[in-house]
Amino acid sequence: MAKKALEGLRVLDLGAVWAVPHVGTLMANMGAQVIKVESIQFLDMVRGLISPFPIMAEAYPGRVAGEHPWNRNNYFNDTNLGKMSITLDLTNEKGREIFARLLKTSDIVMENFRLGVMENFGLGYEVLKKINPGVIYVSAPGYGAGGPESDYVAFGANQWHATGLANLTGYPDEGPMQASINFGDPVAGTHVLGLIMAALLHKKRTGKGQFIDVSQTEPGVCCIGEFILDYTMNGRLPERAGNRHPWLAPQGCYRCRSTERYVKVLITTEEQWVKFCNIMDLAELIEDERFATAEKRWANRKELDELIEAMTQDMSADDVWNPLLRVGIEAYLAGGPQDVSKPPQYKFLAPQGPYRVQDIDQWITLTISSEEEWRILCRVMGRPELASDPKFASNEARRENHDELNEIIEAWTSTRQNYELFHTLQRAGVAAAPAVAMPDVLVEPQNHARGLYQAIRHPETNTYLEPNHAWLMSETPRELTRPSPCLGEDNDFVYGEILGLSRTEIEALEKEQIIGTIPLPGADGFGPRASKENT
Amino acid sequence: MPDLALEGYKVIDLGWHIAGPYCTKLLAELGAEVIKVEKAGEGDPARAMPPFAGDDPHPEKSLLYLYLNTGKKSVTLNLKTDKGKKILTDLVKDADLVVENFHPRVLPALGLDYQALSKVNPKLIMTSITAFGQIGPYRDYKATDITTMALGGLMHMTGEMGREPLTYGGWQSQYQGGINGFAASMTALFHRDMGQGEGRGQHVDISIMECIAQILEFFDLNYQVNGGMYERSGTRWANAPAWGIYPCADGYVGLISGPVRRWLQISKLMEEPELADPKYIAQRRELADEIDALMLPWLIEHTKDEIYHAAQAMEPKIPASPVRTPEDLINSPQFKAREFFVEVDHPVAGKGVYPGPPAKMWGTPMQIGRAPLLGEHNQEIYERLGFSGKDLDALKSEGVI
Repeated sequence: MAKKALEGLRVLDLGAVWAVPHVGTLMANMGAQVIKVESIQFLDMVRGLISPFPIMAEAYPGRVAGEHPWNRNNYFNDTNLGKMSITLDLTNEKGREIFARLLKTSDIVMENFRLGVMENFGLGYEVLKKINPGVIYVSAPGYGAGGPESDYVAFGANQWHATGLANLTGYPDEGPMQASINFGDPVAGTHVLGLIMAALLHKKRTGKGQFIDVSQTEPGVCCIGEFILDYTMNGRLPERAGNRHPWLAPQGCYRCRSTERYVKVLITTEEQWVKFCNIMDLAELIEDERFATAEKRWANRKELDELIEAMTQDMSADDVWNPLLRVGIEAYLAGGPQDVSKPPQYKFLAPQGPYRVQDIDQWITLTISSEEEWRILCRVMGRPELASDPKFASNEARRENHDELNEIIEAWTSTRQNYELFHTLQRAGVAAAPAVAMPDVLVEPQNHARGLYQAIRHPETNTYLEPNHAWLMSETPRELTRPSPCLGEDNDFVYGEILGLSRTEIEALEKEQIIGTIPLPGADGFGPRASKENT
Repeated sequence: MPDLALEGYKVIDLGWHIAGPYCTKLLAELGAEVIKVEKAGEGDPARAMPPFAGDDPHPEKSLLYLYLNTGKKSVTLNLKTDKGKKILTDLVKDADLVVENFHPRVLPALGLDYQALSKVNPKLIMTSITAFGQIGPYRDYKATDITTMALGGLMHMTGEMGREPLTYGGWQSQYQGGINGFAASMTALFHRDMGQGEGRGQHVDISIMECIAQILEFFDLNYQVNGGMYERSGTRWANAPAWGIYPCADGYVGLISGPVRRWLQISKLMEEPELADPKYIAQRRELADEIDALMLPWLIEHTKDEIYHAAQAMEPKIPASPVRTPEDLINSPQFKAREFFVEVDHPVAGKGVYPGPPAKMWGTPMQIGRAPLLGEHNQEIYERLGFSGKDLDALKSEGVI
């Protein structure tokens, strides 16, 4: 089998949340040995709370936090693929000694702590480079290694605000919109991957390592350079344009026929039935003779289902199932992941659904880039006369009458299915695409044809699809090799095989709580802490 | 002379518009010699794209072009002529990397695809950045920036419920293609020069649709294990209160209440004891509107910078940030202290302040040059291939350069 692109590299990834962990995941998936350095004293925030509140259940598979919630958190498990995990208390001198030994055999150290945390451990770059002069050290706090705001904190969503990206995104003449993901993290992280490689190539030539000083805010500003120049050279500030193209028309996102969605429930006891009625605002059914027993509910299920669906049809799936799940009633998406393992119909159990909930709204985007494409669109819409209508006969005219044109297009799209429009328009030669929602993203044939996703099994959760990096390389394979690690999962391998510690030495470290696999009380930053706070 | 990370590396940049040029701009900042091959005549189509310096639609004044091509050398070449193809092949002979973002049909039709070019230079790495990649059922489909944002899954999650999903501002699909192209190209160089590649080059095939689909954070997993949709929640992140964008006295501010332990800080900051009510921790999502209503009076009394500094002065700090405009960015004391923005002079477009490199490499400083004039380096580069001044005149009259 061909070797992966980064085989032979060893990385110590002290990153938390997503920015630096994203770099680690990209490197691990490409074959680097990425060791996520964690501790039982202070958990990566996205491992969640040690004893999560019920409201946080949705962060765990099947909404069950389980015995080791820190190993089951969806966020952590989606963003640390392919890595090993060790725990190590860096506030402890023995812990620091072990870190130094690991450092000697590593190529890269990277972290996105608040500025000064590594210095507080006595593990700042000046110290580390004495131990390993060739090390590439990436420091990626929110605002970089110098300047008056360098000790300020930033979460991923802050990068959206601080970089100027939020200011550009929103409906025309309205306020800025929040990004749905912490977009600044992968923007910074993917840049950093390339910079690390550059530092390694430089090291090959000169033998020198170096310090890479990343402000999580700056890479995002690099992605809006033309707006910065427009301000500094023309004095112009950008306006939010919604989905419109700066010079082509039409471009937009148009409503299509929506997708129906259903929720199923599983009520097995009288107690659950009462809770269900109360939560669904159907308390009057508790006393209703027709539904007084399980047998009667089954016999009268048609009437019952109608009453329930009258309530659910205007509710979102989340609004239906979240309150039910919180009182221990199973509820899940019909045809969704949890439904697959269930028998087709539970005999004699009512209510069980499926109940229709709010549809998934579906949309198609399109851009017309030439007069030829405009004529094609008119023809495909069955409105060839529009092509020569002076209101729309040139790009300029279409920009002028964009609102009216949008209405015409949406009148056509709104009764059609998004994927049908997509392929019809693309085959005719128009750049169109559905704004895909879950689960369509996960089954997109283009991504599967290229092997973006791969099923991977996590030992404490499930098997699920995960995406890999966004490129294929002709000589090196794209494949996921392992899921995100459980806390301290690789202590034995790293301390035993790499550092050569004996079983007794490892057990001693466990006993002294320098390493371990179970977080100490307070390690989640909630409640009293066993050891002093690190960040 | 400062030590440059990619000193001695040579890149042939066939990129145009945004994705390819942003990738090679980063390589130029790291010290590689980037030779941008532009279409003889009009050059990179970005030269004709607004906005322009002084709003003057001049091919040397496009701000997109000026920004995305700093530090490169420009030659012109007509790749449709046999002589043009031969010259490109000669240029590629001792190049480390070719970066291109043509539609997948273009280079094979010209006989200049990876298969052809790797025959003259087996060490060559070629990076192709396209909307959908070089293979797959959508390969021949058309795309603009919004197309890949939509298909990648980011759009449906952005904007307000009941209204149309929103794309991100600017050209974020294209920039994603550029950043991923850069990271992947560097990885391939590592593999060739330091890793297991033993000097062999390879073809790197980037799909911008994948660039978007692979950064859905944890939403793709959440759907699979819980069926959660994560519907558009407007100015709030994932429907969480005090986690998003709020109006304030002079614009907008981003505010994140953060993990549970920071929640009480919001109440202290806004001098609103009601916000400390435990029900707002237990039922944050359900009571989001109430929470927002309690925060607004304080927010609209304060400017974005006042809120920013006050929130960051708390202990523990509240992660807050102004929603910055380009003006705010240029005036930010933090950006100034880090000398992030750099002044660049250009012989035709004049002086401008540009964003600097994405990070500071202390051992090998990254550098921002200026964008080249169309064909500015024809003589320098083609003389290296052995062409005399007379030869170049002939090539010019034949429309090759």
